[in-house]
Amino acid sequence: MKSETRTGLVVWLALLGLLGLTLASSYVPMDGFNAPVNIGIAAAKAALVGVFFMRLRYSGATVRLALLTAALMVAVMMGLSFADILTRGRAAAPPRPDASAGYGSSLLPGGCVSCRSTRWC
Amino acid sequence: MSAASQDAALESAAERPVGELGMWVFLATEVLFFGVLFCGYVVMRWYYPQGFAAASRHTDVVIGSANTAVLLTSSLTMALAVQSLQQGAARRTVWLLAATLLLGAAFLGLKLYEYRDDYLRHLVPWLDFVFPGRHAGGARLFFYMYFVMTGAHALHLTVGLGVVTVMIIGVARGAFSRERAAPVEVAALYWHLIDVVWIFLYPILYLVART
Repeated sequence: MKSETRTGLVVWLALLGLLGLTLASSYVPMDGFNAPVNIGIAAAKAALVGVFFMRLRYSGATVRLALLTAALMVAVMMGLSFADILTRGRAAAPPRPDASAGYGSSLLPGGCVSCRSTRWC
Repeated sequence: MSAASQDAALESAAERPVGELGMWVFLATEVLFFGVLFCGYVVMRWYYPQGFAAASRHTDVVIGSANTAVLLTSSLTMALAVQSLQQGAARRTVWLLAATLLLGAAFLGLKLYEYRDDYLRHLVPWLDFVFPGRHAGGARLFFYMYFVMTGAHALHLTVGLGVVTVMIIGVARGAFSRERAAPVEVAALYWHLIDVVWIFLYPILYLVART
């Protein structure tokens, strides 16, 4: 077997292993760390696909720069969105979506009335 | 090497970096397109954490996980197809591309079956959405995002199936070969990106609050 083919198969097995890991980890209560673990594993899988299958290990600086630009722009978008959300008062939170009447129809000042959540639910 | 294939090799050597860079720039815009959806998802989940958690438990984790494995495997066959073509094994390339096509179609088939199931369980927000419990509002938003994100992904995959079909015909007819592998290499990049998008969709749609 050619070494490139072997590399492909090893990467594929690693990807399936990470899939099993992310699935199994989701059934283990980790006190708020489930989501970061899942996203971390997804990032590792994406990196494997990018570096080996998309041949980023062979690609030049211009290609990497295009990718870096996209990643940076997404980071800016997320960053600015959360800079807004996290510094707003609760009064500015969006209306609670109403399942029966279509959301936006029942603006409830003071948060969720049904479950007394400190955040909207 | 004949003069014609020498010309083709020179042409391919010239177009490869340009085509590759062009595809990566296109993929960068695709990353931004899906980035917007991800950003919207994160903001909504921030405001409605319980609704998103409750809704995610209503997605089909078996089909979702199986589909992830199917798509990861299709990325392997695609990567192997590119290698085969670069080594001049056209026949093997056609078979590997056909396997990629089949796996992609299998993903789409499973996805459509899942959509049908979602519809029968009244989980489509703009039709007859019914959700038990007090978190129906947040759950409704979750399913909006679920259908928009998986729908956009499925649309990309459908385009990918067309592209792979064209590649199979091209390689079988000898239009794409070791001397002119760039079109297949570039098509493969697009296919892998569809896989990467799903890699992120899978945990945020199927694996929220399974404990």
